Amino acid sequence: MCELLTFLKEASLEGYLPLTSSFQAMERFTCTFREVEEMALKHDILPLRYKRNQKTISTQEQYRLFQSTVLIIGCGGLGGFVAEMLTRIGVGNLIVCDGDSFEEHNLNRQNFSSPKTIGRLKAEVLKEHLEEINPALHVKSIPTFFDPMSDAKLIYQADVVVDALDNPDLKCLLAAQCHDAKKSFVHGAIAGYYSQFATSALLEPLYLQKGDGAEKRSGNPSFTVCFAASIQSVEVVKLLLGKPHLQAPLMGNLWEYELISL
Amino acid sequence: MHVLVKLFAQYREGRFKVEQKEYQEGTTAQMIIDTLELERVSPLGVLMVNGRHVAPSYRLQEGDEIALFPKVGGG
Repeated sequence: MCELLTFLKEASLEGYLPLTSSFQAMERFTCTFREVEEMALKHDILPLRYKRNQKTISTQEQYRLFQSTVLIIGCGGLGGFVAEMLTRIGVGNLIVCDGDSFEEHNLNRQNFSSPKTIGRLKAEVLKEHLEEINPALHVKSIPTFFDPMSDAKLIYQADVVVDALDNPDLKCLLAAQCHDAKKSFVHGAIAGYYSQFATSALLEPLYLQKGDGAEKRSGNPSFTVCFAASIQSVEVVKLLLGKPHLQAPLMGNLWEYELISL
Repeated sequence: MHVLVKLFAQYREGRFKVEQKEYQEGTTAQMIIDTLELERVSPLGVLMVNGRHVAPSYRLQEGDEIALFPKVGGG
């Protein structure tokens, strides 16, 4: 391992480890891409893919993200984009859960949905695409619908849980479960041009009455989905890095939102 | 009594954003929701009076500010 580290130091260009050097290291030392990147990050060598993160996220923080596990419940609109953003920012372990398959009416907004993936399980398509983006990533796909009873163990495996569900009752149950398990939890929901967010909060006060949400009337356009997924992703990263996160539900009159308030 | 009513998201469509309203003493939040026919648009998501979550049975006071949000659940 000491030899691997020496190799990585020597193979770095201007302090960054390029992909080609990682691949060479894999061959020479018979190890996985993940092991190479982990060794690099642990010893303050930044894989080149994170160069443009670096002014925002230090190499030590990058290592912390690499060691983190995020559970994403729902692989539709919100889940698909949250998963890609967390992959690109460098979260090392993702668990993606959804029993649904891609359908034609998902194509307007859902990441990784395409005519080719229609009919395939969303959780499995996500895993394939995410690991293609970053081979160092570990993705566990759970291609079944979230069940608060049987999936409680998943919550314990995660550092942060993302609510990307589209069912208000399940959203409330998940929030309550995370609250009981003392797990950080990031809620997001959209309808038409509108979205709402809350971090580590119970959701009953946001879902006072029974019945379908306004999205059944206003729809789920791509720009609102991506916007909401971005807010959720930055909340996850801030929770993982111990930075200040949302303290109260964020909703209504949303003209601008500082992505961090210090 | 005077109550400032703030509507959000789909509740604004065909109604208003903010209006100062006059209600009888004893008016509850649910009565305001019914008068504005908000549930024809979407079930109620969030109800706040003076920035705090309250139940629909809350009786409004002079000078209260009530905020009403539709239920938003898309993912």
